[in-house]
This record gives sequence, C-alpha cells and structure tokens, in this order.
Amino acid sequence: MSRLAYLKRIGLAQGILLVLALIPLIGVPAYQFYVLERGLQNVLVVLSLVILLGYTGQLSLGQAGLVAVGAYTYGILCVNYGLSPWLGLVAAPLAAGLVGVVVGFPSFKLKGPFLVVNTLAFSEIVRILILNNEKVTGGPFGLNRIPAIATGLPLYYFMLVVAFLAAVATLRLSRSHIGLALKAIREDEVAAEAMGVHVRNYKLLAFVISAVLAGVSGVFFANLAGYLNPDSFTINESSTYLLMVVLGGMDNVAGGILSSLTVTSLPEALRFMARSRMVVYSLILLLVLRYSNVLNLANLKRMLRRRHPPTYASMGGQNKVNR
Amino acid sequence: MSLLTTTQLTKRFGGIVAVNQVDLNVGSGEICGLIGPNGSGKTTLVNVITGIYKPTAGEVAFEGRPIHGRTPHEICALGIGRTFQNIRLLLALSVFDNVRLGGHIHTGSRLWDVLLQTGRLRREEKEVADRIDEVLDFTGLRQYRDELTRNLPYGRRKIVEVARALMARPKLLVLDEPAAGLNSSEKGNLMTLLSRVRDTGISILLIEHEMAMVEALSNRVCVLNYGKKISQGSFAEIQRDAAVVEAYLGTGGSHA
Amino acid sequence: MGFEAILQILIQGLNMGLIYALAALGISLIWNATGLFNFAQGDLLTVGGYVMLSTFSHWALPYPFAFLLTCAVMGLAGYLLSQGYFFPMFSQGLHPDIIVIGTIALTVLVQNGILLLWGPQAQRFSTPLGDSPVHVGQVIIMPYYLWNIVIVVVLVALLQVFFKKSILGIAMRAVAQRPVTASLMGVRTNHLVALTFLLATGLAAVGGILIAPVIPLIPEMGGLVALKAFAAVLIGGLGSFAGALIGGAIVGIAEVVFATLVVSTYKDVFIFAILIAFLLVRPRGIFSAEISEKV
Repeated sequence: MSRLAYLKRIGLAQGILLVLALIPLIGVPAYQFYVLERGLQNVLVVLSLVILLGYTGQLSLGQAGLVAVGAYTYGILCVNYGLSPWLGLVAAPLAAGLVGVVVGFPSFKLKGPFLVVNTLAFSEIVRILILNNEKVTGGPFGLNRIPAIATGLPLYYFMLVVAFLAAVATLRLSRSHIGLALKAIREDEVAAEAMGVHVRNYKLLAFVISAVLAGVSGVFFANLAGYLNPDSFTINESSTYLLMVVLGGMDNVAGGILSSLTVTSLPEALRFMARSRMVVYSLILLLVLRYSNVLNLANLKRMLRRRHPPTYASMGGQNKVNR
Repeated sequence: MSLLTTTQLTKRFGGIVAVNQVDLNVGSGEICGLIGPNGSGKTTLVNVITGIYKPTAGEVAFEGRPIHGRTPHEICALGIGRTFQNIRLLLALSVFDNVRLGGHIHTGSRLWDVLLQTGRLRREEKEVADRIDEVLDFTGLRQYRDELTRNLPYGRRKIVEVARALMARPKLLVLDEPAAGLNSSEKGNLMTLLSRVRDTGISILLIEHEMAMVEALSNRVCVLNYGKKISQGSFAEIQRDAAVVEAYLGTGGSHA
Repeated sequence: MGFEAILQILIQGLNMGLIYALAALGISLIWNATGLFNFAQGDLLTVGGYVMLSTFSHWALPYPFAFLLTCAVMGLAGYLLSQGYFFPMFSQGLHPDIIVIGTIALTVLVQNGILLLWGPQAQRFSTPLGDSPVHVGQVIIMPYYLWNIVIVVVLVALLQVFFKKSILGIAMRAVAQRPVTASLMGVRTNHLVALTFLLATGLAAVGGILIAPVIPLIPEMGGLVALKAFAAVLIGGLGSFAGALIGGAIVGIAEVVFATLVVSTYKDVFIFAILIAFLLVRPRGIFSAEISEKV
C-alpha cells in the first residue's frame, strides 16, 4: 500500500483508540467497563490472527493455548517466584514466542485441516499440562492473587497504548516486503517460493509473531482477572478469536479492533435475552460467516463511501487501489 | 560457457517417466527454445530445474555448480527466474505489489527495521520502488502500476509475470508458454520484449508452442517428446528433422 | 502382562474407540464429498446423545424406536444444514477457510443450544443390556462394551453393503475423487452433498447414543470428543473408511493403555503427541487417500 493509504489506516486505528480513551471520561458502569477492557485485551489476540491467518493464511485453533502460556508464565513468575510484574510482562511473551516456534515448526508441511488440528493439539496439551500441575499452576483450583502491573484506569490506558503500538506494528508489517511475502504465501506458496520467499521460515516467523502478541494478551488477561483457571483457555476461546478475525475482515487491522470489541460485548449486549442469548449470539456469528463475503467491516466502509446504493456486481471489489 | 546444463535428468511420478534422461544446455546471452507436443514433459523439466520437483536421477548445473535438489527460493537466489504456464500472480494486489514480490530475494531489511521504520528500511524501499518503475518501464507496464491485477486482461497479466521475474535480476529467465492466450499484437510486443531482455545479457529458456516466435527468437531449439529429447539444433535444423515431424504430425502413413 | 489384562484393555479400548471411529467416519464422508473438514462432528455426536435422552429417557419411547427416531431427526438436521447453510457457501465460492470456520461456529451454536434445551447438569441413560458388570475370570465387562461393539459392527456391515451395492453408495464413492480446490465444489450436486451430510449426522447420532451410557452427557462433551475424533481420522487416514475404523480403535485402545500404564491424567497428552508425530511424519495417515496438487 502507498504511504498515504498506510497513514490513513494508522489514522483509523488512532481514531478508534482515541474514542476508547475518552470513554472513561463519560462514565461507564463497572461491569460494562470490565467488558470493554476484556475487549481491548482480546484485540491483541485478534491482531495475532490478522497476521497469522489474515496475512499468511495459516488457520490456527490454538491461540487460546498461547494466551494461556503468556498468562500463566506471568502468573507463575509473579506469584511463585515473586518477580516484578514488569519482568513478567517481558518474560511471558517470550515464553509464548518459544512455544510458538514449536507449534509453528510443523507448519511448513501441513495445510488445511492438518494444520488446524496440529495447533489445536498443542493448545490442548498446554491446557492439560496446566490442569495437572497443581503445585505450579494451581491446577483446577486456579492461580490466585496475581499481582498486577496496574489496576483500574491506569491499566486501561496502558492496554490502550500497547494495543495501539501493536496495531501500528501490524500495519507496518503489512506494508513491508515481509508482509508482502506473507501474503504471497497465503495466496500461492509455490509462486512465493519461486520468487525467492523462504516459505518455511516465513511461516515460522508468522507463528512466532502471533504467539508473542497472544502472550502479551495473556499478561493482560491475568492483570484484569487477578486469577487464572485452565477453563479460560479452551477450544471455545480459540474458536471465538477466529470468529472475531473473520468478522473484522480477516486482514484488516481496524476491522479486527472493532470486531474484538463488538464480539466481546455481544453476550453482554444480549443480556436482555436471558438464557437464550448465547444461542442468539452464535446464530449471529454463523450468519456473519455465511454472508461474510458481503458483510464484513471492511466492506462496510466501502459501502458507506458510495453515493449510490451498491449493486451485486459492484460489491466486493474496487477499480483502483487506494493511493 | 554453458550457463545451465542438465545431465541425464530424469523425473518419475510413480510409474510415469515424465522426463527421461534429458541433456539440455543453455548458453550465456542466448535464447534456447524448448518445444514438443503437449504432455512431452517441458513444464515438468522446467519445474525440476527451478527446484519445484526433485529429480529422480541426473543432475542440473548452473554456472558450473550443481543445483539439483535445491529449494526454489535458493535457486531464485542463484539467479534463475521464471514465469508459470497458468499465471500465478496475486490477483488481489496491484501490479506494483506483484512486481515488488519479485524483488524479495534482494531485500536485506529485517523485522526489526520494519517495526521501527529505520533509515535502512526507508532507503531500501525507495530503491525497490525505483527499480520497480524501471522494470515497469522496460516491460511497458508503467501506466498500470496501481491497477489491481485482477482487473487486467489476460495478455497483460502474462507480461506482469515477466516483469516480476525480471525484478530479481536473473541471469537465466525460464518462461513457460508466455505467448499462450495472447492476440497477435500482444505476441509481437512479447517478441520485442524478449529480444530486449536477451540484449541486456539475460539468457532465456523458452517453452513455447508458437513456432513463429520460437523461430524468430531462438538461438537454438531443443525438442522433447514423451519426456525424451529427440532433437536439438537451430530452428531450421530441427524443422527438417524427421523425428520432430513425426512427433508433431504422427507417422501419417496408410493403415494396414 | 496376563492375557486377561490385555483382553480387558482391548475391550475397554474398543468401546470408546468405535465411537471415535464413527465420528471419524462422518468426518471422512464429508471430506470426500466436499473437501470440507467438519470440526463440529464431535458436537453433532453430543446432540445425538441428547436427542436420544429426550426420546428414550424423557418420553420413555421403546429403545429401538427411540434409536431410529434419533437417527432420523439427526439425519434430517444434517440434510437441512447442508442445503441451508453449507452448500450455499460452497456454491458462492467462499474461501474454504471461511467455510471451515463455519463448522467451528457451529460448535459454538450446538454447545449453547444444548445448554439452553437440556441444561448444564450431567445426564445419562443405559443400554438395553443394563448396567451390571459381567465378570469373566479377571475381566470386567460392562454391558455397554458388548452393546457398542455389536451395534457398530452391524452398522459397518450395513454401510459396506450400502457403498458397494446401492446406486447411491456407489455414486458417493465415485464422488470420493475429491477435489483439492474449493472451486470444484460447485460441481457436486447439492443432493449428493446433502445426503452425505445426512449420513454423517446419522452416524454422529449413533455415536451419541452409544457414548451416553459410557460417559454422562454434558454440553461441553463435543469439544472433549472432537480432538480424539480428529486424531482417529488423521491417524487412520483422512478419507478412508478402513482408516476411520483403525484410527478410532488405535485412539480408543491407546487411551486405555496410557490411563492404566502411565499417569492417567496425562493420557490425552500422549494421544495428542502421537497425533502430532503422525502429522509430522505421515500426515496422510495409515490408509492414505490424499491426492496431491498438480503444479
């Protein structure tokens, strides 16, 4: 993308996060604020999938496991070893990155369902290991009284800053030759390799970067919740992250941020539906997928820009790239 | 000095011998035509040379060094570029980005540079952009720089693939039926382009069915049939070779 | 180790193993017809169990009738799922990753639907053979061991006849020249795809009916069974009938072996490690049926 298009996207991300920065000033009830914070925490995982799935085309059902590695590394270092939370903040993503290397290693030869199942298997292994090492992780009883880097409003703004930096980093990646190489891998691995892209290494890179982002998200999860339990890192969470990135337009950063906030608050927004809200929530998600070639946030922007109503033929493509 | 040499190169898929003990030579600064009926193994041969398949037997040497068994990106780094029979471009991206991909092998900036937008990255991106414009000018695509590739007609897309391959500054350019699907004026433009490519010192291995093009451009020609090399020489020579005539036209004699 | 201990392990292993095999079979059927990997197969299996819970336990219909009714209801659900949701996505040419994520979204819907309709508490019902264990020497045989084995053997025999002799079955096998690229999915007539889904959900239903006596039903069971089913289908060979059975048997038996010989809480870790090893070394599985891409 050109420099102008890139700056526009950064501006959009800035705009969204500026709005989020102003929200506490208008006063939000405590529980809704917590939901907002969780949405913000999820932004990092969604960005990790924008890179891994959106750019590189690697479908992972294992992000929850990487978030868990980040969260528990932080928790264990702070609770069991009394390390400073700031050190935990640095160590946790590194640990997640290492696990990302292991998970990503088989990716060079695995495609489609084989790749997905591989990521799922690793995620489940992580969860089972956490569940069964009570002395270290608290097992099913959880890890309690985790010290935080910050609480309340300072934590919120800290997460906001980190989310912004992550968004900028993702956009810079997208624009660069590395981002182009990743997208080439997604579209046509054989051609990419013939053009000089070391596909194996780049896939690994995508896995590691996405693991590090997920790890940071895990640290924030630990900070928000104050307590960890392996039940928070299952295939259900991994599934939800995937749904978020699809809703956001797969490779769209601003879309990913918005969809993370939206989907995280959806169960809360549907609260008035009482017991059936989760069913309605999942029906909505299924519909979004079904019509995802039309109904995603990236397309929404395009539609809003038109002066006349879109016809079937004009949907899903524009004639000139943004300059 | 031969730039590319294959020695008894063989490729089997299960029971099928797609490439059968082929000896091929491409010299510096020349265009070597590779022809043969459909299914004669031309694309497979080229896929082995460029590393997409590993040879079952035999060797490939480039600039005197063995390259058989290497991965495609290593071979690209050594100086062999290529296009594909069925176009393999990133249709959702612009012409600029597609050509830019071709230059990937020469990028030196790391992830660090990208994340911090260092001076090194900015300089490199400027150089790359300049080089892309150079290549676009050379191939006559400058006006389509920012067009989405999916909006281009088929013939133009084929030229984009050539431009992409040229970005890597190859010493040898392998082209798999670049004229297929082109109309006559596009073919003429392609011929001129390939001539100019050769004039810059780049050798070309050209798979083609378009005989006028092969005749006009090739310094020499190699003919395959059923995976085996059945003839080689100048176009005039192979045209007269009975084996070649038979391969294309069949024996044509009376039935028993 | 005594002969009886081995027999115990085998029978216990086959018990769950055959259920995994049924799920694996459903996955392979859909894969062969459409190139889609159905991540919701485990949850469909769970729904089958819950439907049987309603027909057999709650409405007290006789077992055989409840069994068939459950299969019919689930089969219909599969047919509608195909016609109403998945086939339209195939023919629209949506990216295969999106359609796969659709099956993942389906798991979320199913789990929440189960929670809404049947509640979170664990529930179960028995086989007609009751719940009293039978002792043969040192070997403890739960009645559902026998029941599951018999039902699955009969079912597999019926399927073999179906696929070899009936026109529909032969057509489905012909369709197993599976397209690698999604673009070819439009070639498959929607009826064949819908019938494949019907068969796959029917098999899931049987799996659910057989699993409930063994492991009490909970809404999250789909997720628990799923990965074992995936392991079964990939180890045995995606797209292969025999592979689904062998893969299921291997996973089921391995589960019991690891539980008894090694630390039982880690049994799943070992199974997943084996799965990952297969993915690294032989992703095609034991009975490979993969077709590779022409370059």
